[in-house]
Amino acid sequence: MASMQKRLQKELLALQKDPPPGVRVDEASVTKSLSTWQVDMDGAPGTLFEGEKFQLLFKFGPRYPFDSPQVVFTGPNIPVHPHVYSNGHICLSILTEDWSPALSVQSVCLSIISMLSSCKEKKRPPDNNFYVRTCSKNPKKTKWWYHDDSV
Amino acid sequence: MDLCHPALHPRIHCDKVSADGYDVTNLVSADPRVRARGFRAEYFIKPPVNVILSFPFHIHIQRIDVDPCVGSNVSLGLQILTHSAASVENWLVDSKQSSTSASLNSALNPDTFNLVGKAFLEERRFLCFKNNRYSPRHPFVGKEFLPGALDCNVYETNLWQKSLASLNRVSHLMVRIVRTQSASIPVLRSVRVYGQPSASCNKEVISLVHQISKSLKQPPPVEPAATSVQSPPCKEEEVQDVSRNLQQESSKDNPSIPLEFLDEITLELMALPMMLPSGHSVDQSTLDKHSQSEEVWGRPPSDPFTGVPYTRNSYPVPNTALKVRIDKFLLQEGKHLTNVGRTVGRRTRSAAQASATTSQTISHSRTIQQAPSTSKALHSSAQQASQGRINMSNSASASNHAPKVSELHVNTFLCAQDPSGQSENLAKRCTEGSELEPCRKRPKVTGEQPYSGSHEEALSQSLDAALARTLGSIPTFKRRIKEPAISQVAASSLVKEDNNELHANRGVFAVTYPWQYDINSWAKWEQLLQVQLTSCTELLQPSTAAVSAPDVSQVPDAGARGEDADLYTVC
Repeated sequence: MASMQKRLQKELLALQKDPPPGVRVDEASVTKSLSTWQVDMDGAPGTLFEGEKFQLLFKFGPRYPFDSPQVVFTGPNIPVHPHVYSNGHICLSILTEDWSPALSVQSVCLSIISMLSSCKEKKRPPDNNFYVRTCSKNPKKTKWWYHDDSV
Repeated sequence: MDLCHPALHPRIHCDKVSADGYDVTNLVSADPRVRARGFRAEYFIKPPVNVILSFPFHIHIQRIDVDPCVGSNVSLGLQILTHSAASVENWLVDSKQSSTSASLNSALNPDTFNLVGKAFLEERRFLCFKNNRYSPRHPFVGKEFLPGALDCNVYETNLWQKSLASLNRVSHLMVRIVRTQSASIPVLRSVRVYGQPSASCNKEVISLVHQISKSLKQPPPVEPAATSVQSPPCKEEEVQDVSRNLQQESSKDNPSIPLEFLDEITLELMALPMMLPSGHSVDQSTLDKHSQSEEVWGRPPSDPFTGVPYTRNSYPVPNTALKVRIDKFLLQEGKHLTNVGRTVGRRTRSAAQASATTSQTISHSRTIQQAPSTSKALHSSAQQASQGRINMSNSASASNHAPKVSELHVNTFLCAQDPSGQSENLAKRCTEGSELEPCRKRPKVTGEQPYSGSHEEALSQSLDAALARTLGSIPTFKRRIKEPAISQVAASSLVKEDNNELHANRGVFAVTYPWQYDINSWAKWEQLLQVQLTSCTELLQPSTAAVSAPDVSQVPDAGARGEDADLYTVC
């Protein structure tokens, strides 16, 4: 647990000091508990999501650097994207099985920005309605089937 | 002046691949933090490695300082080569050309370079190549243009002048790493070239460079990089400052651990650093945890940084060099580090507290067990002391009905009992004491003690236990020898043997000094000790109280390890 705290503190400092473009940590959310972060994100300029604002919710488990965080979109605006379900769940391999302890909040944010940026058509995933009705609250419990390697 | 200063925009290029984050451009970066990192080739690169610096004008070299150590990697053999191009594009004056010059760098043929200096080191040292024929020219005359003095531990060597142009009119300078310490990666921490623009430069260039160097020197406290222009030793400090800043950001609770000793994934001090195939060093416990979570996905253990599974030829190996340095650091400066895993050094504060608590409970139970016979009580108290975990134990003679200060705790000092409590305790002890045998089971008690964290302690405990077992199996006719032998062994760890000679109306104080605490807390502690002594001696025989406390000045320095104990007698 102590190790997780230390690591999160370091990441928070790094993210506050030198954030990737369009990414801000909501400090109010972090002061309450270090294990839940809210990150504000802007759609990258020059992409379909330009000018939009999103919020990401990170939840870190006690095994954090060795176990991936739960990451979902939250708030009023959830991007319409073939890999983002309308309940905020994200289909991204590094959030589950391709997670590595060498990754960080910053790299997850960058991956999500890049995922959004490479979108060519704004649409929900084909199985959105079914998934949203049946899924667990925790996106990590879903058995994702990563079908699109282009992103 | 420093011609590698970022304000002069020197270009740097390396013919081999650099490791992530240790690009060769770090050496001329304007960011002191990046600069402090230095250059490291990718882990599979072998010498020779050519690092080529190109300057926007011809230069006249005065001195070249090279720091060839990054972390545990050391480049031992270095050559300095120069090239004098007929014309150089001055990107200081004409910024338009900047795009084409990178291609020129890579097109440079190493054969056109002249060797002007070489050095082979035996150990990690700072390197300095000097040009003895250098003389400053106007407007670069004056103290502010001289490079700073060198440390004593610098390997100095001279530069040779093969032809006039080879030192006086240099456009490109090559630092070639030809040898590294065994199995080390080619590295360069910093390269500084001191000198002035060559005589062949036109006036425009010279005045521009002069202006730049002047502007750099005016606000040295404001711009940290500017101080490095004046002296290389300053630069070293700057490097340390920067890394210290980084550490403070990264781990506030242990501010002085160098970053390279921390596991990159968990940010804890590494107890068993392992070098991964990707060149990163992480702790073995991190690797174990990572392999565990990989197993969940049904994958073989892999490098957490690259995801590449280990093979027969590429797997983590213990980074012994780093381990040695971590151990050295812990032994020298690690005394204040409490909650780090370690394989060397003395027990930590928390372990001391834990063991002190254990001993408190043990000694308490033993106090009850004591028979009210004077000699036995004394013997037992001496033995309690000899366990080495009791911070202070004062057992006054029971038959004299003196109040008993059973023990003093180093952290709490709460064990001094008020007279009512003492009498109660005494009564309890007397009733129970008759049915209990005194102090025979000492070795067993030692064996049962929980592991308290310190290596030394665990070792002495296991030795004690092993000895007790061995002696226990000896035939009975040796029994008479056995008992004193055990108590002697146990006692020898802390207390002198003459305890047994103590008389009935004496209290024995065995004091274990917590040297790992600072001197202030010692002074406070000593004060408390005095109070305790006076309070109990008053009750004994106030007129003859004699307490010999140790001189505070004799407190061993921080390097001294091992616990000291003294016996105090109160007559």
